[in-house]
Amino acid sequence: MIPTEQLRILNDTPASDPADEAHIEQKTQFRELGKAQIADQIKRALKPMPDHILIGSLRDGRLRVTSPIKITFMAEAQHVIAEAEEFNEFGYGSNKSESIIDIQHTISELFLTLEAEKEALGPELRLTWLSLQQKIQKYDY
Amino acid sequence: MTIKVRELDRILDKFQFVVRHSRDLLAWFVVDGKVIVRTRRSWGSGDLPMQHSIRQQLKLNEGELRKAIDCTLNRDDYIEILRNKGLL
Repeated sequence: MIPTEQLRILNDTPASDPADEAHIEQKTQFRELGKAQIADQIKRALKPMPDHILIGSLRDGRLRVTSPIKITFMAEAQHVIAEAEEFNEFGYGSNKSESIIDIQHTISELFLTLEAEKEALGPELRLTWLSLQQKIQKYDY
Repeated sequence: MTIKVRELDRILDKFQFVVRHSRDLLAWFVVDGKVIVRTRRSWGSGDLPMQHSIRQQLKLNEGELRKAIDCTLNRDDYIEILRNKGLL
């Protein structure tokens, strides 16, 4: 945000004395500063999100994340893919937020399904189940 | 390489995956009562996103997936591939 005083001077009525060079110089300086601040704000707004995040929730009241889960993003055509490599699981959406929500649901579903099938898992899925248990707990109601 | 929904469905059907209808279509490959491999797909049509991830979940390389799509792999071949990769 451009400071109020700076804005006031930029938008203010002309200097009481147009010949007042100091005032004109100050206005010029503020104008340049304002441009730099606006450019900085635009730059920040356009800065891409990081290529990975850590999530601490699965949006599922039955499950609690006890250790953050790393989610990596990839762009693919018009989709954003969110991947949890440690569980070999993925989600997607039209933007990062949607892809995060999708993978949260997917991991939750994976946890509950593997729990239900835990006595009948092959070697790889057994490892996935162990990885899930290290980071997710089920609430006991 | 791209996979279309109908191509994946054909693979799941031919390899006799057990499917469950949920938010997405969930598919499980079961051998001798053990769940060996799982994947899922969305309910849309056309090209599937996440093809690389789906291929990884199916434990197939690109050539094997191509054969699966072209219907030159059957369930027994798939089981053999999984066995060779130490997944059975």
